[in-house]
Amino acid sequence: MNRFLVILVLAAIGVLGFAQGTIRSLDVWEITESGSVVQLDENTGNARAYASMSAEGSCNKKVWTLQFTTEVQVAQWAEWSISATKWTWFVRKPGDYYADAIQFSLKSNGDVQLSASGFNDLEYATGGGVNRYIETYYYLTTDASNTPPSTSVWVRASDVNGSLVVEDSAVLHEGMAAHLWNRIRVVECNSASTYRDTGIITLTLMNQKPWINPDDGSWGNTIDYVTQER
Amino acid sequence: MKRFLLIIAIVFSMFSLAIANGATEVPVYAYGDSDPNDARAFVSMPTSGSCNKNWEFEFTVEAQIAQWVKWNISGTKWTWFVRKPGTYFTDCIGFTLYSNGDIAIDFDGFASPSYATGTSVNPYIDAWYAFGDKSEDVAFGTWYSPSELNDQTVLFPDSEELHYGWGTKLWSKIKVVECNSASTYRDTGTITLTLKNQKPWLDDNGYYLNNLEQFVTDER
Repeated sequence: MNRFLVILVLAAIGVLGFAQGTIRSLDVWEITESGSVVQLDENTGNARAYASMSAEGSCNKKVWTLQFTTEVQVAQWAEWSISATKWTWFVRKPGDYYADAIQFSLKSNGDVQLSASGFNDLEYATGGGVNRYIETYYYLTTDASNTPPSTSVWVRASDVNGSLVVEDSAVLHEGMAAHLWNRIRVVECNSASTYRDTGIITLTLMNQKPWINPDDGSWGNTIDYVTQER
Repeated sequence: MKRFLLIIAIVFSMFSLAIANGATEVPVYAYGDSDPNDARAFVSMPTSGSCNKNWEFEFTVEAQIAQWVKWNISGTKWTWFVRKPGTYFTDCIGFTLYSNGDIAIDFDGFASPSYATGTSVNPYIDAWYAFGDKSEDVAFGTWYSPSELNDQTVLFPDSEELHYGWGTKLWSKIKVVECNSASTYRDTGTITLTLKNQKPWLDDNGYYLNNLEQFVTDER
């Protein structure tokens, strides 16, 4: 019975393949912003094209009509930058300090999930200390004026861990900018030493096409995604 | 009253001619790959004589040739896969056309490919079409927007080239901008080929009419 089902499925696939006709990979050129024309390499270029669903006719019928389709499948892209990935503080005396200066920009054409993990208070890097931790806070703002934050808006390091989704929008397509602020509270119990914490931020493109290799953004097997939809 | 009588007389005489025509269908045979179903033949205008004079009579062969067309297109769908914004163009859907009479090609329903499902920041992708053989000629040649293409009627007049096969390539150009969200965009238009010199004794599907003998005339 199982063998019969397999044969049936294979037959159905065969019929679909026949109906689809020959799928041909086409040469593609790009007209660059400077106006020059460049023929794209199939592997490194940013566009591929296929022709499918051929048609023909031969007789005396007076009027022939045929449908003609152009389909564009656009992958999700992201362009981001962060002006630094490390703050280094030099503190001479206890106090409550905060600093600006890490800028983050993000452009994309689809939902992007930002996840944070591993963020905690700074910890004594080697050995022990009277108080081995320094309270650490972060504040992320998209306020272009980058006004210094009030004391109430800070988020404790461990509460930063989690995720948020930046939804597809005109602002995201044009590019969003954010400033990341950092605050530390050094107390008298913190021994002289080096304290450090490293977290991880992960950007995930939520609307990526299945013909993109998710690991590195390279081309997958695009020809499998040429459909007969009109 | 005179006009009425004149019409009656003309109709009556035409009917009489048709009867006198005596058109009779005869079997058709074909050599080689020719299909005998693609031709039908009638004999008409019998004549006779009976006396001792020398006789001379006219003999006519008339062939009414319908318009035929043979066409093929190597694809009716372009599928683009785009990783990043840019202006791209591609060959090449080949189109060949053979016919023995004027052909008109019309375009209808072409539009910018639009977001197939849901919404997008910009739900349209600009698209253009071109005809030509070489990328260097096409790149900066005439590109038709979908609305311009819909306004086009291309007439291929009867010519030797058309009889032996006329061909071109269709080109597609798209401009993907940063405002186009990741998704699938699609547009489907219709191309219509019309045989402009078709004979009246074929129906719309190219089949013989039942009253084919009505098109047998007495013309010499």
